[in-house]
Amino acid sequence: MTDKEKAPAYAAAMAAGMRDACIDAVLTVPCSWFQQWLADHVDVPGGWPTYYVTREEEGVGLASGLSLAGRRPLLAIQNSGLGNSINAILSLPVLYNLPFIVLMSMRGLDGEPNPGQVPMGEASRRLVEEILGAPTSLVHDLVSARTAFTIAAEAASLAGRPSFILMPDPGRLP
Amino acid sequence: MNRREALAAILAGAGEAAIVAMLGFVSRDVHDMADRPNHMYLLSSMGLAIPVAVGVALSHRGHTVAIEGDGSVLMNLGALATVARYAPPTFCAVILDNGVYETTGSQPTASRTADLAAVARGCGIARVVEVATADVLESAVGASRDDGGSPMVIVARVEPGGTPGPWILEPPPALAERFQGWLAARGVSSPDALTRADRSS
Repeated sequence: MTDKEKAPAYAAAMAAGMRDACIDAVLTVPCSWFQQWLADHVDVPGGWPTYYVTREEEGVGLASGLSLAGRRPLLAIQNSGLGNSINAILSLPVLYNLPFIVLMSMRGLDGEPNPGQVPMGEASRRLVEEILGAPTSLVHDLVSARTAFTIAAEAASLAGRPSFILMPDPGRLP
Repeated sequence: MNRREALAAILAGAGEAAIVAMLGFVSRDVHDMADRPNHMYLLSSMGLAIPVAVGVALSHRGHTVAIEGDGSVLMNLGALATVARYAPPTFCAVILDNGVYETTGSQPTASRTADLAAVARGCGIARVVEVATADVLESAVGASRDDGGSPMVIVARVEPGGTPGPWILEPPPALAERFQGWLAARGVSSPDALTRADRSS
């Protein structure tokens, strides 16, 4: 697959995975890696109700409210927003046992052009797994780009807390 | 009016609304005064009562009331922009503005110089009401039940002070489960009805 073909292919796989997992709303402070996914599949007629929030922790609040109302929201953020959201995640969905999926782009790793992303990039996985105690799924190819959503949904439901899908740069995936 | 008088007015005006109460003295007082299944008490998460309530309102579609404080709202002013953009017309946020961080010892907040009503209007909220008495507050909250075409923000001037209710001892998951059960019994809108009413587009 050429680099130009990757973004649309991964976007389509993710959308299929969201349908498999019965996601019914998307909340986001978007990452540039989500551009094609949002424009072609999510925030389109026949896609999903899409809410652009002002801060990632606000998105945690909205997702918690939607979860309380029995919905299955997806919160899509960049990992730089994870740090902003630690207390929100621990004091809301973790404290009250509210499951939902967080799709998180993993900036600041190999090939990152912006040095400002690096410290959070290096800390992200530890924060999610060790501090938040959240189940994680890693997207590593086209198949996992789809299956990660049902895996994450089930893991969140079992754990009674958010489950994270970690999304590397699609341009660096096979 | 003092905090308890304001809360009594809000509860009277809200009736059977879904109510999300912010942490600290507000949740403790509401729980102490009138604990009901339609109440969701936040024990932490300062600044997030409005976002949680918006999330509930997007699905519940009935009257939903968030009770916030000035210090908490100042922590997350962007939430007012989100209310203006997405909240259904039967959504109401009441900001109890006493000018202090009361729960931590009454240190002054920026609401002494930041006009929260003006901020709400600037964020695009068409129905912004400023109140200073309990009877007007109760009427305003009641009026927010009606579909006035847009959500409402009420800024209520409150005198600081007053002994808070006792700590809420129910386990948080039990509080959430009870609230979820109350919402489920009322039926949530179908996924197709969870549409995005984006007033910014």
